[in-house]
Amino acid sequence: MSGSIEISQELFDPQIDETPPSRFKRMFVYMWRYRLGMLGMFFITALCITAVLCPWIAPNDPYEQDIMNMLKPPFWMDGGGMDYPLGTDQVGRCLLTRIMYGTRISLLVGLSAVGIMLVIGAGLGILAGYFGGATDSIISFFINCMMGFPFILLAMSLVAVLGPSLQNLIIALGLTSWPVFARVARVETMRFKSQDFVLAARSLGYSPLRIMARHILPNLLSSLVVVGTVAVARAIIRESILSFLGLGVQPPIPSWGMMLSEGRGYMLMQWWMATFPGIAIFVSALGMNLIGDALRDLLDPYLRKT
Amino acid sequence: MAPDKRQHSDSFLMEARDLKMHFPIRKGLFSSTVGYVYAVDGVSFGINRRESLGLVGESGCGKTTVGRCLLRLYRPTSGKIFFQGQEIQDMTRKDLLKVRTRVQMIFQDPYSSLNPRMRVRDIIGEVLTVYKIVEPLERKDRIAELLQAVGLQPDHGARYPHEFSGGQRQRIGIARALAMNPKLIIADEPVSALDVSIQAQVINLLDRLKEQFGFSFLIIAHDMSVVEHVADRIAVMYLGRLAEMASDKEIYTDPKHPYTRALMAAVPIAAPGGIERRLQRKLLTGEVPSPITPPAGCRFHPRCPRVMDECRNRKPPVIEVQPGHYVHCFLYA
Repeated sequence: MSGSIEISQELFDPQIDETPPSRFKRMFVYMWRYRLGMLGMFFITALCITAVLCPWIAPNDPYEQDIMNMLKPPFWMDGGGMDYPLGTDQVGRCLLTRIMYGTRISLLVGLSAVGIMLVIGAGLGILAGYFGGATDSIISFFINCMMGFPFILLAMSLVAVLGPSLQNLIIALGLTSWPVFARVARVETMRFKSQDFVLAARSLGYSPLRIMARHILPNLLSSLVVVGTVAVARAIIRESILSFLGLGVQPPIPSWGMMLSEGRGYMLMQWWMATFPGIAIFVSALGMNLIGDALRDLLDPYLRKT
Repeated sequence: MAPDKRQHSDSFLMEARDLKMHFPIRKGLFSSTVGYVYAVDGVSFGINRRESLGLVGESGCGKTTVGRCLLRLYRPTSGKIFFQGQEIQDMTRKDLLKVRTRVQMIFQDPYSSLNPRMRVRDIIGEVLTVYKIVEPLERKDRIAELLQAVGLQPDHGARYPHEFSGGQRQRIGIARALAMNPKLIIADEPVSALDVSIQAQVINLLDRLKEQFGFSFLIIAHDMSVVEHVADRIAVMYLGRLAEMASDKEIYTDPKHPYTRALMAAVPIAAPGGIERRLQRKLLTGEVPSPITPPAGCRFHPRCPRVMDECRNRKPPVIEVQPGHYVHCFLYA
């Protein structure tokens, strides 16, 4: 009922457009509309800050082993202490510190791998969707081959050829996970290609490259960003999987996946060793997904107001 | 404006000669061609400088395909297209650039014809930048000028297309078409997606701009009453072929082809006794045959009230019943 009263006031009040709400209020309304996205933003910002500042804010050295204090529980449990707030691992390294340093690896891997995927996937997808015909058949076949191939096997063989290192891990992830981008880009391109504004661009004599880059790509961005944020989350998880298998980041560099793998053997008694890196993976993946959701709304000009 | 009797290609601004566009129908595993859609099957006409030609026909008769062929958005199956005396049907994209900046199109659906991610000023001004027509500083003025010419405010340039109504969007589409100062504008059903009240406004705008900018005009429509106001000459199309072509006045006062007569009968008459007069006329019955299996002989014969034997198997000749009035029909042979 109150809603209808508000609407009628808006309709009959001629002053409504002349007194815009203050900047602060507008910002607040905006943030409230995207509150879940703001939560995701908060998670990811916190992770980024941690990644940058960890040498100064981490309580200990990530590589320093303290044999006397190995497998210590978190501070709120018996035997825990503020020296090692989240406890220590099997060689007495501070878990909190290692998780904080692990943020760097995860974000680096996630973002750069997605960058590679975006370039390869969106590029091939737009080409396939725009030109159609034989180009489309070849690229689509390639996409299907990539999708049918087991990720672990492909990533494993890539790492085996290139040798396990952080850089090669990023390359392996990027080269194996782009088909989702290609599929989305291809389908969306086909959708937009049949619209009159692409026909108008063609009738103005623009080059195919210009049409793809300036007229089609901007229309794909919102879908690609959504796929991209999900892909960052997945790349972080896949980095953990490869590191878990020993194919990714090499010890003693702290990576969440590797910490998970190290904690596996202690799951029943020293649960914190696997739980906290797991929570870190979860929070970062959730944060990226929430941001992706909010960005999809924000980037859509039909929904954008103010 | 009197239609040009001569058939030389250089007397027309743009001319189509025996234009054919057959779309292959592909099916099956190896996409073998199982047939063709005979969308346009031998159409010839010319557009004079500063003239507006109306191309009228039922939906599916190939009028849009003709328009797109003229712009070379499709490569015609056969036939010739001349623009300022130059054959353009086999030109490569690079050679076509000169034509494409001189010939512009206005689209039917104002909702899909504007890129939703571009600001209005970029939609209109991109072409100026791409072909370096104006200095970056002049660009803004030119865009403002164009916006004003189509009845919008210069500050509308900063907005996105979704902030406008259908009629306003169509005006933006018109401004984009005008940006290059084209010699010919092809308007594909420019008002059929708009409300009736807006239709008249946009038609009047097009008419005014035609005088102001001095372009030729090919207006494609399924509705006689739309082209009536704008066109100097009207070409009537039926199932991929022309039926009749004559000046605006003659088509209305003295239609010759049975199909044109039927079309005229479908136009509402706003005059005393209009309804009775309309009822006396013969309205068409039956459906348009499929362009995949068009009827032999005259395309119109299955529905023609005055069908004769010859119509069934021979293509009707082109007869000039009066200077500049062409009918494709055996009745006048």
